Amino acid sequence: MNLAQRDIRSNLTRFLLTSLGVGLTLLAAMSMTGLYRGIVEDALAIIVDSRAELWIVQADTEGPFAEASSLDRRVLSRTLSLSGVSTARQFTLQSRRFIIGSRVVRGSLIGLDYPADRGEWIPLVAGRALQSGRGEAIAEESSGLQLGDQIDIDGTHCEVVGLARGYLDSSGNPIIAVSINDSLEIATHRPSEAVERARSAGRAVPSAKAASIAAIMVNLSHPSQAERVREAIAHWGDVTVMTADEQRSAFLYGRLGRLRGQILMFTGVLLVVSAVVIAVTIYTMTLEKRREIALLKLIGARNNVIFAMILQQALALGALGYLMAVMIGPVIRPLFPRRLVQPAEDYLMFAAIVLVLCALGALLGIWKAMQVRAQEVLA
Amino acid sequence: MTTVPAVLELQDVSKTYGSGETAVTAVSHASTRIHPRQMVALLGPSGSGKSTLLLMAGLLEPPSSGRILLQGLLANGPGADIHDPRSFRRQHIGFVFQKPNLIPFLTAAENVRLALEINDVPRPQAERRTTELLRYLDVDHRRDNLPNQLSGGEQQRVAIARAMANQPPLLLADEPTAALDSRRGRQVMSLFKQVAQDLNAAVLVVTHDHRSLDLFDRILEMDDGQLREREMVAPHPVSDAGLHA
Repeated sequence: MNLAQRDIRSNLTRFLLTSLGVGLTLLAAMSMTGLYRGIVEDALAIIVDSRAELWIVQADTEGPFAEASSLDRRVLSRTLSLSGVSTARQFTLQSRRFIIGSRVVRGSLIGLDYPADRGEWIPLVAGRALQSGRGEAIAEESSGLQLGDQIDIDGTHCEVVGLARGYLDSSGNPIIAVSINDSLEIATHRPSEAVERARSAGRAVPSAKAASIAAIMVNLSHPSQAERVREAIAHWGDVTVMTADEQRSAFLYGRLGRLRGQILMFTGVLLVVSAVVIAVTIYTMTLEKRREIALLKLIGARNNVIFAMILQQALALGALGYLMAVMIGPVIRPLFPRRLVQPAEDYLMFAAIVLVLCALGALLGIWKAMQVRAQEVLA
Repeated sequence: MTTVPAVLELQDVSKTYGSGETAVTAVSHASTRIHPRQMVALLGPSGSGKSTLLLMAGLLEPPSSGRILLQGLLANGPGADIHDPRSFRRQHIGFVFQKPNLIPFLTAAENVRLALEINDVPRPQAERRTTELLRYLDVDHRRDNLPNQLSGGEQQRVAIARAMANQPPLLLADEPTAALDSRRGRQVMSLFKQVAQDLNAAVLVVTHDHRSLDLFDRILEMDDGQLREREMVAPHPVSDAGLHA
């Protein structure tokens, strides 16, 4: 006879509600890890998807993802002349506001070195990559833009030809990609009054041709060339060269360091809270059965009968709570302002965590059950 | 002297709680023997040591001194024959209490079957025995009901069925009729009498219910920890049960 099953059956509503409580606590912890993964994935999307093997950035900086980086466009021809370099692409990145319809949308504008870089590495859900060096854009769908929409960015008009999903910057805002020419024109755009004043004061007027870029993405003819090419570029002295991994680390541990730490701390706290909630719930469930446990001891039940009842109930509680968290997760995930990423390994990890927490909670309950004396039935 | 072996034998048993100046003696030098088919009442005011005596007889409390023998096996002290009291209780002692103490999430039949299953009785046999017992105690029609769906008397009968499940030679009952009206109380006491005869069991009942005393073979009285036998008006055939209080 399965005592745990019988107990659950007779108090089903209560058991379901308790499981829901455990499930929601788990969901909070899972969402936090999803948020963490989402931030990291969003932040690294360009670095990872562009598949650049080396990044040439402004000297003594950690590149455009960690800090401002300004690079002379002429570095491109120098780079292409190096043996071992297969392709080199200019890249710009601006954090800015876009006026889309009547809405103000915060996001990032990236410039792609058309035609060397048409943005084919951006994962599209609709439309196509760039097919022109002017007037085309690929937009992340959360920007609200649709295929065929016209967007005016500081006087530069672009038609949306491709829609990407989950292509967000480190702040969770949408990215809009245009050609490098359009991006530099946008970057150097000034109101006519400002141009006039600069001219009358004899100052240089910013122009797209003379504008600087943020970085150059380099791909090698063979990975074995990496060290040699890197050394050659490093000798120029006016730039810094980083591998994709270094770029990634600089971003994650530099600019995103505190945010990551904060989220990881929250995740840790939530896991501790989940552990305490599960342990206390199981402990309380055991305390409530104190009289039944005493009776079982009185009529001679072996300890394993009592252990099995507590452990099975604890595992059932954890399993149901976990299932509820897994089922509710996808429903509420879209309501979060930031993207939550929950890969399969996270589900497995949380299943293992729940299993361990339930087993520990059950041990606490079993320890309490061992202290129950048979004669308590007579009290 | 009878030749019938005692199911329960207390030899000069005492129980003292605490030590020094705060020591309280709950039972003092109690001796008695209870034989198969005997139904024995244990009377006494509250705090006189009845429950302590019952706990010791049920191997739930060890005595401070003296010897307890169950079916001729020494239960305590050096050279004890019974090393696992819980296992011994499972097979040899049935308990009935003032409250039926049924497991609330098990049906009447499951409560009885549980006692059999924890004694490793195979499922089909346990099912059969459960049905027999519930019929015997006239609660078979409520077998699938949870305890909270049963009347007090029905619950108590299920509790008795559970206590009888493994055919224990010793049944210990602690005020089993206290929560019942006099008619139902007498029915339960009659049932104990019947069980004692049918199972060849010894039944020791702690009770305050003087209206059913005529059903008992012997009456023991506890007063301030002292155990003594009250003389019966009509002595039972097995009457020399060896009281040495």
